[in-house]
Formats: sequence, structure tokens, C-alpha cells
Amino acid sequence: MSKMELLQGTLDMLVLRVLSGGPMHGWGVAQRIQILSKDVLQVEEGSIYPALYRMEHKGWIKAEWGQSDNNRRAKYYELTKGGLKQLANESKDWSRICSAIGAIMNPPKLTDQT
Amino acid sequence: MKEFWSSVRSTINYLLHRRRLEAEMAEEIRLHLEELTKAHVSAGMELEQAQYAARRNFGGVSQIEERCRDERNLVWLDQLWNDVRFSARSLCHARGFTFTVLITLCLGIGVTTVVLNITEGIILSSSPFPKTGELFYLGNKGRTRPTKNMLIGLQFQAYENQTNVFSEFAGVEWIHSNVVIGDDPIPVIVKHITIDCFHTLGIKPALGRVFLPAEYRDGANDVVIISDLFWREHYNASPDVLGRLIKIDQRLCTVVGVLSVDQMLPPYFNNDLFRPLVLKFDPERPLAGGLAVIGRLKLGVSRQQALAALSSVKFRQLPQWASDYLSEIEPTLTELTEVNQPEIYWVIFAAAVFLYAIACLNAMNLMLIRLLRRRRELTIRFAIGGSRFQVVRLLACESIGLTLAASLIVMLAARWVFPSLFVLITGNGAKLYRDYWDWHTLFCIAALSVIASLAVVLVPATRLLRTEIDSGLKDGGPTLGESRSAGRIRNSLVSIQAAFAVILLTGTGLMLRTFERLHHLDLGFDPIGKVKVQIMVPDSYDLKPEARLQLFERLRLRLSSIPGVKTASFSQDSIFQGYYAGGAQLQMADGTFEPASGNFVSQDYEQTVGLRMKEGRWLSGKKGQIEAVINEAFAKARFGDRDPIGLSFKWKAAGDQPWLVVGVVRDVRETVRSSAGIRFYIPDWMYPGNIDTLVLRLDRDPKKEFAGLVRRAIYEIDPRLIASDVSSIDDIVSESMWAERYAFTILKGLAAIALGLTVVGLFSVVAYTVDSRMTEFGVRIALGAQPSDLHRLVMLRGLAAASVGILIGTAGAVGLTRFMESLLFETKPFDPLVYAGVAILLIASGVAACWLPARRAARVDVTRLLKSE
Repeated sequence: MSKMELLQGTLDMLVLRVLSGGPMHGWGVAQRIQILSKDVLQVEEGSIYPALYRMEHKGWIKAEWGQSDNNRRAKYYELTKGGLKQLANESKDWSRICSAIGAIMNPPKLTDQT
Repeated sequence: MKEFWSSVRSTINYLLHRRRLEAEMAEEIRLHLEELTKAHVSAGMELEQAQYAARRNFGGVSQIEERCRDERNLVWLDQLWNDVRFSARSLCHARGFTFTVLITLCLGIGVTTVVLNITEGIILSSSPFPKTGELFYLGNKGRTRPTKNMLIGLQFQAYENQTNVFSEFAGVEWIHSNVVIGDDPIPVIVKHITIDCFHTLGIKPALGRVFLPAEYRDGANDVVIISDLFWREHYNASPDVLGRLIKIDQRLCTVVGVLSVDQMLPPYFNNDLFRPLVLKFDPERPLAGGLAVIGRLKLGVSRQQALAALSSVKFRQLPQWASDYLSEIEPTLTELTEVNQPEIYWVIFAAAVFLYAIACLNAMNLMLIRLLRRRRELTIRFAIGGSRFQVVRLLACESIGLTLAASLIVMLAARWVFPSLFVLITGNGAKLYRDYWDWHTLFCIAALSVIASLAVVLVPATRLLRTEIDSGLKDGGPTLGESRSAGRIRNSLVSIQAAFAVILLTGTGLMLRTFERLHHLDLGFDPIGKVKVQIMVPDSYDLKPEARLQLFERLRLRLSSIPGVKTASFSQDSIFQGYYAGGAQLQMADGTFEPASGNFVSQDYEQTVGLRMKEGRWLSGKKGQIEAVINEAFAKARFGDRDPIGLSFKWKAAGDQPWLVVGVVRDVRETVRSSAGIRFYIPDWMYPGNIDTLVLRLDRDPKKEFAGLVRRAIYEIDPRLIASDVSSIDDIVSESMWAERYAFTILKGLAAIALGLTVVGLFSVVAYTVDSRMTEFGVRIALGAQPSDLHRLVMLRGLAAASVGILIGTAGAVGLTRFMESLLFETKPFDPLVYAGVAILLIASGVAACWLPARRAARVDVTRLLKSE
């Protein structure tokens, strides 16, 4: 199966979702997205960083330098209260969009009713 | 909203720690790439291949870094930061400009703040007293007496009991007392206040309490409230002052309160010591006891109704002379603000506003010139795509930065310099302890700075938005001359500055003339070296008239023996009392009575005071001789053109006794501003009961310790006497001119600063003009012009701007100075000498300002100029 481009504007949501599991560094976030999407989504790994910086700027996540598993200095990102709220909003919006698009793409078959 | 602040915070953080954050970003990305490479290697790739694959997976590093930078940065904040840095750098570079503008703005903002601090009470009528509009001084005026905002004790009692138009009264009586703190006796005026006084004026002590109602009774009133200054000077501002004892006239009074440092008190109420007033009526002396009284009108009662109510009051049974006196005077009501010569404050306020305007104009002009000097730079900016808005932003940044710096300096000055400055100006020691670092002052500084920065940025900005892009290149290039409209704006700014300076200088000049007139005023005697000693005989001291005469004779002899004293005399009134008493009723030729002032004097009074005989002789001093010496005003009013010597007159208290006129003396003034009233001098032995003043004549003005010598001598003669006032008449004369001196001192300072700023403004404009016309001057020289021609050209150009300013300013001064007419003395608001003097002074300053640039123009070096092209 070929990889798919990520939908516009969903990267923030994915990052937030991944970080809701606990603090993580940029590399970890990228890996996590790959793994969770079962390698379907093709994310240019570098583009995580602008997303992380944007969300830090807006106060949704905060960053702190810490020690990584293999004992190297790494920057860890963590959700803030604002970020949690944002994640809740975005996932609500996302499921509404999904169901709307789903309704259009797979309309209930009219013939079945008659 | 939260996101906005978070982003501002994050941007500022980024701007401040840019280097560290950049390094961290690079490290983070490197880490990621290494991890990716590692993953690829463990999947079986060669290292080089793995690195390549990692880069491919990651995406372009520098693009991503750029995107990260954009994300964590607010564009406008970044630009602002850049502007601030750029303008700070360029201001530091242009040191002369920055320094001049800073000084200009500091002076403008600082001086105006100081003056507003002095005048705000009057200007904003933001009196510190609750509902000031309802407060009025109660006073008296007679047919020939000016309004005096004082009541006799008896009047106050009658008003308080019989009228119903005032809701409360604040009254104070002053009593000269000997106050002993530790071992030193000091003469102090203690103010005895009525029960409502502090409440009416909204006064609450900072420490302790007000007087209790029970303390307004004889015997219970040995309590005292002290001023902040007294507290600091005598108790070192110690908080445990409450309960301490002060010995006032042999009675031990307990300190129960201390007023706050910035406690304002209306005129007549200001003092160091307050005690509860116990009003007593002494039938022997029915008109004794003077009070200053402020009444609060009841709601809905008009001034007229109140006056009518006061006029209808009936006084108790009194001796004929006393009720005659009371029937002659009528009550007056004076608003609080009218008492303190408000016009002085208005004049000072107006002067400060002019100075502020001059400072703003100066800063504006300097900014404009700076902009013109940078025309080439700006044109290049435009040419390579910089927007006008960007340049205006830069300009705004510079001017706001400058005013911000200036206001910071002024704020520091407010903290450290203002108190001593206020003491210098007002001569009031209490000001030293007040804190001027309050929101009031800070608000004032902030408001003045905002206006100044707007003014400074406005004209250059509009100018900038209208310039043609290519004209800058042309102007800066080899073209001759300078752009006309730019020159016009600069010159008119300088002219307006000069005009304001002219108005200020004219006001100052008029005050100078007034002051000079007052100083050289012939008072009718020479005040230098004269000392007045006022003696209070306490009520408890029963002194019969004959004994009083002997006592004063002893005092006279004792005081004349003090080294330096040439002669001494005593009398009923002092010379130069500050008011005309007019208590005697002189019978006129047609039988009516006219108020006059009778003075009972000792034999050597004439010699001591230095009265000048006009004709006849002085009193003979022989007992039983009913004779009098009159002044010129008396002679004119009573005898007209006839020679008064040998004629006689009668006055009411003396009944039918005719008084023989033996001499006429020159008039002696009671105040500097009023001419002498009708006055006669009669021998002391006639009515010794009224004698209370000694006048001493010294070789020269007394030294400081002289008053102490006098007090000690009096104490040795009789410890019950209080030397309530020992002061040099010369000091009294100059004190009576405090208002004029006050206005003059401040105006002098303001005018000097204004003139200085105008010179700076003119200098910078002319210097710029010369700079920008150097090439033209070179061409002129090459074509045969003489250096002196160039010199003249530049001088004329500068002086033309100054002259326009002088014309406008003179017109403005003619319009404005008439508002200060009441401050002037024997000086017309249109004094030609003053106007001419100001014009000459300004032209001279103009010449001084243009001289250097003109010399520079005349020394233009043609060959060097041609080479530089």
C-alpha cells in the first residue's frame, strides 16, 4: 500500500494527540505518528518542528530540556491545560468532519428502503 | 486572548534570548537527524546512505529552521524591536542632537511639572478642602478701610449665635506665646481653633486625634496639635511624640496630634501649633481678640442672603466708641480662592505653558533638521523599496525614545531634586519633607511627555509623507540652494519660538520694572537699620497706664544700651505696619468725621524712625503741652491749602480738646502699594495704655543674633513680657513684596530658559541652512562674492526669522500682559522701555546664535568644495 499525504491542518491535532500520552521529544513524536498510523501517513519528519514551535508559541504545549533514554540531552514537549482543551475541540471537530464526509461518500442506499 | 499574551511573551523571550534559542533549535534538529540515521543504519544501510536517507526523510533543514523561526516570532514585534534598536543606535551616534533634544525636553517637561505642582490648587480649583465652593472668609470693610478678612471676637460670637446661614465655622485666633521645648524659649504664634475648624477644612491628623469637645473649655484646653514641620524639627519625627508635654506660656500642654506632611491650610490658618479656642468677652476691652473665620454656607443660601443675615446681627450693649466703630463697618464674604492673589499663579502658569511650547517647538525643529540632514539616506531607503510608513515608524521610535528618556530623567528629578527646588522657590521649609514622587506628579510628567512626543513626531512625519522620492536625490546632489518649503517650515517654527520667548521676556521685564519701582520706592523713611520690637503684655498682667509708660521708658533705655543701637523710641503703632489702622475719628472742617490714625509716640520717635519734617517743629516733649505733628495727607485733607502750623483740630475720643499743630512731616507709607493715610503724632503721656512697640535705630542692618539680645534684655527687665516680634523693618518691607518677588523669581528663571532654547533653535536652523548651502556659497565666492557678503547673507537670514518672532511676540505680549496688570506697580503693561529692551535682547541673542554659522559660511573653501564634488 502506498503512503498518503497528510491532510492540511491535521498535523497539530496529531501532535497534540500523541503528546496527550505524556511528555515526548520531537523525534519520539515523529516515530509515534508513524507507528500509530501503521506507516500509512507520510509525514516529512522535519515539519513536526514548525508545528511544535507554533503550539509552544500559542501556549498549548511547553518544552523543557531533559535526559533522553540513551542518556542524551533532548527537548521534551508536554501538553498544557490550553493544549488539552485545544485537543478536545479539534478531535470533536474532526469527528464531525469525518462523519459529514463519510455521509457524502457513502450515502445510505435509497433502494434498500423501498 | 490568552494565546495572544502567550505569543507576545514567547516573542519577547525569543528576541531577548535569540542566540541561545537558535542554538537549541539546531541541536534539536541535529539530534533528530542522528536518530533517523541510526534507525536507517540498524535497518542495514551504509552510514553514508543512511545519512542521505535521513536528510530526505527529514526535509530541507534550513527551510524547516526558517519556518520554525517564523512560527515563534510575531512579525510586528520583531519589526518594533528592530526599529528600537536601530533608532537607539542612530541616536547614540548623533550625540549632539540627542543631547540637545534631551535637555530641551527635560526642561520643558520638568519646569512645567514643577509649575503645575505649585499652581494646580488654584488652576484646577482642586482645593484640598471639602466642597470649597461653599466656603467663605468672613470679614469687614469700612467706608475708607479695605476689606480685612478678620472678625472681632465679639462679632464672631454674634454671628455664630444669631445667624442661621452657615452650617459650620472654622475660626482661628492667634496668640503670641512663649513656647518652651527642653530649655529654649521660642516665641511662637499659637493658633487657637474653634470646635468645627478641622472638620470644616477636612483636616485629619496623621498621628493622634483632633481635640475633643470637652477640651474647648477653660482649664481643659491644655492640649496641642503640632504641624509636621514642628514635629520633624523638634521631635526628630519620633512616633512617640503623642503624650509629650510642651510648655506654652507657663502651661504644660499635651501633644495629642500631628498633622500630615502635605496638610494644606488656607491662608491665616497655617501654623505649627494648634490649641482649642476658648472665647471670652472682656467688657474692659470689647473689641479685643481677632479671628480669621471661614464659614460654610448652608445648602441653597446665596452670598447675598448670607450678607443680609450678617448685617442684621445685633451686638450687646457696648461703650459708645465701640458701637460707633461696629456701626461703621459692614460684613464681607470672600471666596477662599480670592484671598491668595490667584493672578500670580495664572501668570506663572501661562509662562510655564509658553516655555513648554517653546521646548516642544525646539525639539520639533531639531527633529526636522535631523530628518533633512538624512535626506540622502532616506531617499536611498525609498529607492530600494523601503516604505514611507517604515521611516515614519523609525521617526516615531526616535521621538518616543527621546521623550521617554526625558521623562525618566524628570521623574528621577521629581524624586531627588524637586523638594529642594520647591524650597528654593517658595522659601517654605515644610516643602522639603513632602514627597513629590506621587501619582499626581508622575501623571503630569507622563501627560506632558505624550504631548511632547506627538508634537515632535507630527511635523516631520507629515513633511516626510509629502516628499517626492527623487527630490531627495536632487537636493542632496549638486543642485544649488535648498528646498523652499522646508526652509519656510523651519523658519516659521523658529519665529514662533522667538515669539513665545518675547511674550515671556516681556512679562519678566514688566515684573523687573515693578520690582525696581518697589525697591526704589520712597517709603517716607529709610527702612535700613531699623528694628521693630513688638511687646505683648499678657491679659493676666495688670499694668496701669502710668506704670506702662515707665516700663516702656525702662525698656527704651535698656535697649538703647545694646551695642550697635543708636537710638530707641516707643509708640502705639509700628512704622510700616502693613495696614492702615484709621481708628481715630478726625473732625473735618464741615463737622463730619473722617477716619484717621493717631500715633502716641515717645520724644525721640522722629529721630529714631527718621521722619522728615516738612515744616514747623517736632513735639517738644514737655508734659502738659497739648500739641500734635501731622502728616501731609492730614494737612491736605483737614486744612486744604492753608498753612497748618498754629491751627488746631479736634478728634472724637479727645472730646472738645483742641490740638495745636506744631509741625508737618512727610507721609510715611504703611504698605508698598498704598499711599499714606491721614496720620497724626501726639505725645506718649496722653494715652500710654496703647503703647506696645519699640523702634530701634542701628548703625547698620542687624545681625541674626540681635533678636536674641533684645529678647534677653526684655526678659531681664520683666519676664512676664513677650517680645512677640523682633524684626528688621527692611525685612518686613521686602516680605511685603513676596508675591511680586515670587512671580519675578519664577518668571526670571522661565524666561532665561526660554531665551536659551530659542537661541539653540535659531542656531541649529541657521547652521543647517549654511551647511546645505555650502556649495552655493562656494559658487558665489568663485563668481566674485566677498566673504563679508556671505557673512551678511547668513546673519540677515537668521535675524529675519528672529524679527518676525519679535513682531508676533510683541503683538501677543500687548494682548496678554494686561492680565498681569494687578501685579504691576507704577508700570504700564505697555511700558515701551520693556518692549524695546526685549527686542534688543532678542536681536542680540539672534546675532550670537547666527555668528558661528555665518563665520563658517564666510570661510568657505572653494577648492576643497570643488574637489569634494
